[in-house]
Amino acid sequence: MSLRVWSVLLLLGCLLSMSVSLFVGPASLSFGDVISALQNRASEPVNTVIRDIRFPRAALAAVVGAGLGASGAALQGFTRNPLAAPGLLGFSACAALGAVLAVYFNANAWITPAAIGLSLVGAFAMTLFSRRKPGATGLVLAGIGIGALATAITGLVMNLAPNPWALSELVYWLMGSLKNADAADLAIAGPLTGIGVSMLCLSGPALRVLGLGEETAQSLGVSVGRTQGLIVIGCALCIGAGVAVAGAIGFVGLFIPHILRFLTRADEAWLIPLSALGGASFLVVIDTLIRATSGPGTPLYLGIVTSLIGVPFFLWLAWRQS
Amino acid sequence: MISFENISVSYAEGRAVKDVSARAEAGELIALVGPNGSGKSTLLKAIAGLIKHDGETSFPQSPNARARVISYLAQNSTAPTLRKVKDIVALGRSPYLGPLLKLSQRDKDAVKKAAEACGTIALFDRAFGTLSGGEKMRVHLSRALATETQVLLADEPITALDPYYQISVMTILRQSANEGKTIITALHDLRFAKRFADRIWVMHNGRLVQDESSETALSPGVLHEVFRITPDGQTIS
Repeated sequence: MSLRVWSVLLLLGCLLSMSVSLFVGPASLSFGDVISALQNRASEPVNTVIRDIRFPRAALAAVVGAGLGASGAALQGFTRNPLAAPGLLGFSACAALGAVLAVYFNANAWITPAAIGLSLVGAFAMTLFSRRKPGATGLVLAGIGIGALATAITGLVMNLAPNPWALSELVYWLMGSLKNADAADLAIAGPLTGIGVSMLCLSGPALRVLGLGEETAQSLGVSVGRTQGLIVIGCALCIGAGVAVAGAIGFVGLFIPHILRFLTRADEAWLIPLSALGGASFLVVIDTLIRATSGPGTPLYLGIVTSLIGVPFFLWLAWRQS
Repeated sequence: MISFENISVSYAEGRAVKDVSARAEAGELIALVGPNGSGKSTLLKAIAGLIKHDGETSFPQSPNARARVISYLAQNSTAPTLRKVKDIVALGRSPYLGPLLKLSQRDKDAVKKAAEACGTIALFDRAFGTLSGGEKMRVHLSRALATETQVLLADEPITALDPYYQISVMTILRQSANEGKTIITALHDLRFAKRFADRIWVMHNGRLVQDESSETALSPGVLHEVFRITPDGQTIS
């Protein structure tokens, strides 16, 4: 089956899972209710459930998953390291620090700009530290260092939390969830992730050549510095926007590109867009399952479930490579 | 044709290449020899425009324009193990492709011609990771030839290969030179340098100390002073 057919299938899978998610939730709605609500012709409560709660949540799951999948594929391609992912290279940690600082200072309206801002600051710092020699090694070292610093400061902020409630709010936020997703989040995260994924897709042709090694790629006219810039800013936008609206969601960026790598034969020009579609489908399915299985009092957190699925995969990968 | 003047490359530890000037004509195969650390790889990278250097070269400065004039075959070349051989060889056409990466008929012809020259067409549908070391090097050579540049720089392309593939790779380089390309290849094996090259450049402590025909370049004096060996293959302490 050609990669074009797989792209269409993944897109259809994503749209199908989003459609199914509109029917899942505490309020039991018929097919007609959902269709009417999408056309804004249902009763006010049904309109609210679909248009203000379920649709933004499903769309945000797709947006966040797309950003994570594309970021992981681009980072793994650039570093030529199958273990590279936004979480391991500090993007998620920087964005999480921004959001945690906003929560700590009780400025919830600033969560989104703070997460995106700190993510971009982290990207800038990574570029600065690897400026003398852009490339995989420099980016990995800078990313791990900056991520460790951001994680340490996040720990310090939690350590200094003024009361147990503030601390619990921070802890729950870091677990990652889309339960508070709304249309305003979608209006911010959607375009930013769209720009980020587009930048990552633009890096695909250069990454395809970079698979031959940095020197060979340079000799074929590829600019390693420009490619790194596209990827670092693209990841910062995707991960900053994703963390801002959904908290820290791990491992999607690691294992979705891995599953699709075999399909695309590690061709990043295809792997990045397919990973975006795969990540989107995966996160919508997982979030829908969480809503279908969680009781009202004990909601499962999205970040925990993706990690529970992702960690065994990560260990299997490490075992297979050793 | 390729010419460069006063090429110098400095690292934190000191100058790795010092004021090297030379010229190679179309159709020439130059063997670049010298002991480990003499500056062969650094000189090739400087000529290819991959590292900062002082001095002048006869090539375009823009990376994409230069990529259409010089191909570079790196020491320890690599490729993704899952990628098919035909896709790797086609990457040699990257400097000519538009944003959609679509290969034109001319690109396909160049890929086929390069693969035929290196005998890699039979490997086209195999994944790179399944190839032997010698097959991998021939694939990399196909990729470099597919760019159809005037100049090919190869950094120790036969070092890790068995005798069959060493001769096979050197024969391909020789044929490419016979067809009009300028080829400069770093080599460790002086017998191959003498057998296949038109001229030999000898590097020693970052300087080009000998530039003569392959018949005369490796004189007893050069072997003694540069390589610390005798003409009959004994080491000099």
